[in-house]
Amino acid sequence: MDHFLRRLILFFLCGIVGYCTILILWSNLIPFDALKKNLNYKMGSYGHLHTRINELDTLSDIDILVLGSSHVDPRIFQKEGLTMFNLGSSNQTPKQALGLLELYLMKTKPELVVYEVYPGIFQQDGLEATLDLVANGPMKLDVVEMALKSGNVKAYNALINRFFIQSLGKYHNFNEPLRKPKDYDTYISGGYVQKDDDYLRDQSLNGQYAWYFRDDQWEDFLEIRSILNEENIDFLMVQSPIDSAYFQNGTNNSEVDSRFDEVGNYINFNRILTLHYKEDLYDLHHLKQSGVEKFNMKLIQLIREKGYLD
Amino acid sequence: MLFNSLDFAIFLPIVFILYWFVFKKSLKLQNALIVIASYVFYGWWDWRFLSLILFSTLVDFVVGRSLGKEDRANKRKVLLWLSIIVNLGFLGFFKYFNFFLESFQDAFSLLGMDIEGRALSIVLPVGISFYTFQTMSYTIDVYKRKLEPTKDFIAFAAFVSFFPQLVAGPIERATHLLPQFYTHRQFNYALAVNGCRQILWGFFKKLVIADNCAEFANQIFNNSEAYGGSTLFLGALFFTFQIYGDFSGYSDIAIGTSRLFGFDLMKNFAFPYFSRDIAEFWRRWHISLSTWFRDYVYIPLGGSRGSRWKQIRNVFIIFIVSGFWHGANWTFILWGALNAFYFLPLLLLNFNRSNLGIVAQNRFFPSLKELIQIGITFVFTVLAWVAFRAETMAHAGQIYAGIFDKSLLSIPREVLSSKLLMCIVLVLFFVLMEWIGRRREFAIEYLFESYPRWVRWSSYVFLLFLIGMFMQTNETPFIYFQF
Repeated sequence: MDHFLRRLILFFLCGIVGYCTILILWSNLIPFDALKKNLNYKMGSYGHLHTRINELDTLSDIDILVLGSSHVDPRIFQKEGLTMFNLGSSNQTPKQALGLLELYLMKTKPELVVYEVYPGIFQQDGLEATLDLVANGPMKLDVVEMALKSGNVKAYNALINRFFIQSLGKYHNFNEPLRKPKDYDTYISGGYVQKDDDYLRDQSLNGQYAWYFRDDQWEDFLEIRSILNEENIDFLMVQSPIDSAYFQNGTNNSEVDSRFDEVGNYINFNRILTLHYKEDLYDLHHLKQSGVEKFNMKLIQLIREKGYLD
Repeated sequence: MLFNSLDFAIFLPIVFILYWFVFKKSLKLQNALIVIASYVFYGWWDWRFLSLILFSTLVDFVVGRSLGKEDRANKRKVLLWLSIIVNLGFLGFFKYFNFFLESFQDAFSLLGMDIEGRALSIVLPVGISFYTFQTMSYTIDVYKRKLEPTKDFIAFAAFVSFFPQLVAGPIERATHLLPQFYTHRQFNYALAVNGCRQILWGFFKKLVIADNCAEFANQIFNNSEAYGGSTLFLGALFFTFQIYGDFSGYSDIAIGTSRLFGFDLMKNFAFPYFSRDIAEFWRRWHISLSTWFRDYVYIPLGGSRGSRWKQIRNVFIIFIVSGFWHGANWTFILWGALNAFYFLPLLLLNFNRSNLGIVAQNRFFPSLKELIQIGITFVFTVLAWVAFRAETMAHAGQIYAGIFDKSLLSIPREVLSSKLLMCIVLVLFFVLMEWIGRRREFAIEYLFESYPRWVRWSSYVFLLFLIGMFMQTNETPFIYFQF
């Protein structure tokens, strides 16, 4: 028995080393992405987080920090005399938003944090966003912890690969292209990613639906609010407009509104702006640039009216 | 609790350490630990159904003891029927009540009569078909005086609920497994190492082969009306590997886990897709169930003895009952009937025992004749799986009509993708490994056995890597749980 246990432990140790070695060789030598099923997030693969983090390292003292959004364009805010940084990442859930906030709040020292609270994001486990953070985000203990806690082999594979990339200094030497034609997007200084105007995702309405909230995501969300309260930073939750017919199909929109109202200042732009898929949105819940402009102008107007930055 | 869950990864080492370190000296305590562990394992899914297992255990234990004391034939028969009625009663209620109700309603409505009756919302207890058949084997063997009734309730409860094979087999015979609970188990290094290898191979089959094939099989079967013949056949092919990887993977993990505890479970699969005829396929597929039906249904019915008519009747009974065992749906009956049709010519022409050995026994490559035989048998099997996988008879009919269409010869462009090609590469690797290891109990039993340890370990680590790189990342239950 002792012999068996000794061998088993030895095998596990050798297995860990062997697994990491094969993974690194595989990720670098095999040219086909299809053969890297559980290593689908690599440096620079989606969402421009690498560039965003690099830019963030050069910033300090901004007016507004935006979380969880791909719909807030810093150029529009700049025209209105406001400095803003969009800290959104691919499919960012409160779990990742909390991690990023803890890392960058002190550095950016914003007067106001705007959180885009699209209810769909509270339904997700956040794996995709975790993978993005592991592959492209800062190599901090919080990110490692997030990956380990995910309990998902994709996150572990991404983490092993990231350790390798980091140890060879490849991360800092990597130049992510600002324009990614394959993804139809361009990175704009200030953390924003603009989709091409002619980009459309084919979607159709599928009847009624109801939002639900995962407890773990909600707890992390409340933690964000607590941190901002402690730091005495204003916190504004916004729901950016989605396709108006799609919004109407939601059966518990009022419940969702009350839930956010209980947390703090909240504006549901679906009650203010009426936008439509294909005109102002490239799918049912992502704004095209024209939609972003309408939403951002209204947002700036309301921020001013409510006196957040006075 | 699923084998492919974090819960099991924590549960197994705890039970293993308690079993060999804390309770090593007492057989009774080891058996009690197995009972408790098995009930925890089962209760993790739904503790309420533990009462069913416990009740079934109590009934068969008491009936067994009574049979041991009773010599009068009539009374013995009553006791046997008591056990059969209780066990099949539970199975019938939980698994077949709604099916019979709906089937009667449909039949009467064809005659213009409407029968009132509401389907019940019944949750099917996981593994009920497996442990029911296992306990029934005990009572039948005691009745037939093949086995002495046990006086040890804990050993019997452990036999009924033994967690590695509780929910999806292999369906053990009391004559084989129960005596193992009476004898003191010694830790056997070689057996345990072999068990670990089998567990590893089982996980590869389930997580890599079955789950990846399932993605395409589900996509094609769930949207079958949108696809042409070649894509539908491809869907059936993926399901063929899904069900084999899923079920034989479960059996491998179960057998391997049992070995860690010093138990020897019966072999459940023997490379069935390398069979040269359907009779051979049925000697190699779900062996524990096939032999159960053979011993407790087919042979008592007369088996292959008697008139031709009787032989044909027995073949149909055995295959249809076997199909029906899988689920309360006409599609399973169709699957059983199809296999009976495949099997019948072999029986009638006395060819049903012509392929008893291992294909290409002393060669690496099969002969052309063997290759053709394997190919034909495989295609027949794939076609039968369509009925097994289809949701309804109409669905099965629609898929068969789609397959036997001129579009069968077209390229399945609708589903062609790099992901699909990746899945095909994995399946080919799997088939190659199975072919290389076909003389063994399981494919990697003696992989690189004559090579140094580092070569063997590297191959296991490579398999672990393939699991990590290609497994589905959400927990997917085993198909046979629903049976």
